[in-house]
Amino acid sequence: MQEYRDDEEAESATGGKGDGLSSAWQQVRARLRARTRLRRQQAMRARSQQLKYATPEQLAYADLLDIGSTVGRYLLAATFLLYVFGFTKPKIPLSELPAYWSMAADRYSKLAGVETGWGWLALIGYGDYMNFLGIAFLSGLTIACYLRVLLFSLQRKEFMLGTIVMLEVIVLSLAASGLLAAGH
Amino acid sequence: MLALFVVSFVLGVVAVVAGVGGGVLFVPIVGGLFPFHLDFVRGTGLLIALAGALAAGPTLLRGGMANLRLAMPPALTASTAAIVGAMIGLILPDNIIQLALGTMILGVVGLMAVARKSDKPEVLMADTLSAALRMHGIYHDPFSGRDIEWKAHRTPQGLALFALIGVLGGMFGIGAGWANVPALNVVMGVPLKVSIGTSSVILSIANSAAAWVYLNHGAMLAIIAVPSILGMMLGSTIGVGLLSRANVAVIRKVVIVLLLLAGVRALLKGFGV
Repeated sequence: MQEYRDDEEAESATGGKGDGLSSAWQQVRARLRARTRLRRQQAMRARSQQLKYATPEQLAYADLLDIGSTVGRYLLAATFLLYVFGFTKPKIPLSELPAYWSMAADRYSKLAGVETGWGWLALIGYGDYMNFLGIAFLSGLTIACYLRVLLFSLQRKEFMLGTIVMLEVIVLSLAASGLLAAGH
Repeated sequence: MLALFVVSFVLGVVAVVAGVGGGVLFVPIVGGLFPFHLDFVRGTGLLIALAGALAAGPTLLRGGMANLRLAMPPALTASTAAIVGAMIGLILPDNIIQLALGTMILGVVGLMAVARKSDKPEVLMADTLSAALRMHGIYHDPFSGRDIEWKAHRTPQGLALFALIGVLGGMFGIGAGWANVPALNVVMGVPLKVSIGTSSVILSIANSAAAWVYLNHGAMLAIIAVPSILGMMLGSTIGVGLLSRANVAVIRKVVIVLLLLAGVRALLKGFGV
């Protein structure tokens, strides 16, 4: 039904406008507008169906997770392609890696000259360490998702949920801080 | 590199369908097949489980197959414990880690083989904590075509179990979905499908914490981590689509055999064989 109305609207946009480029442009614009409206309506219907099975904060968490994991995936893929195809200079050349990858992480870090904690950030210009941007992004994504849920819990004055969210943010931030590095 | 990508992709599909998490398959299998040090394999294992869970999370959460309120309290105990586990794992000598990993993987095989799971466990009354945290929900069962309501019980016992699971997950770099699912399903009385979905969300949170410890310790190599992560993310996305149609029983049997072989291999490595 909706598709029929949209098509009618698109047809009417062409009527009385005469032939030529202008008329074709009007028709394309009307069709695009109709399709956008249809997609928006479908998205709203899907959202209302999702709200039957999930709370708004769960959907907000899922949306941010979706965007973040997609961005993280592309970031990982892009930096890795730059690295393996030699567009960025690596700290350890690819050909020498087999000599390193059977070492314990401690020994590798010493030989590669990498500090523990956020020391890798100083080497971000090297292709192999540039990949850590995507890894750190994916590892930190949950903190952003939790902060989004925290807003919901504050708005609704759900202090128990808010406390759990805050504690998790503290735990994850502590882990990310680099203060907890251990070694053999 | 291509072999690592292909192995990770296959493990991603299988892990989601079998509800075990990618890391528990990746660490023993890749640790046994490839010449990488276990530090890098465990660091990558955590990232893989994390990436797979992140990729599957949005679909599961939107469809009600995972529940955020149910996931949050176990995730808090599991992530705190996972940091402790990761620090212990990076301190222990390699042969001890291999022996412990082999023993644990064989334990996982035993658990998977004998664990009695229930599609829809009977929960007469939610406990005080789960009621206060609103750990209940509704999901659509495509087989019966009905919406099914559920609630949780025995929350304190469940949270204690998740602390133990977190330590093991962080120490061995495994996802721990194999333990999350029975803890949610058998102990807390959550329906199996919601347990599998929510386990994935718990994994994504707990593994984020442990992954930071490995990353900041230098136990990551891009050449190992990135092809594995990308393969696992792609595999998990396809695995979620197959979840409602796949023959879970057959896939679980294949996973049990694979883990049995990987566990024995880790034990042999630990003994220096």
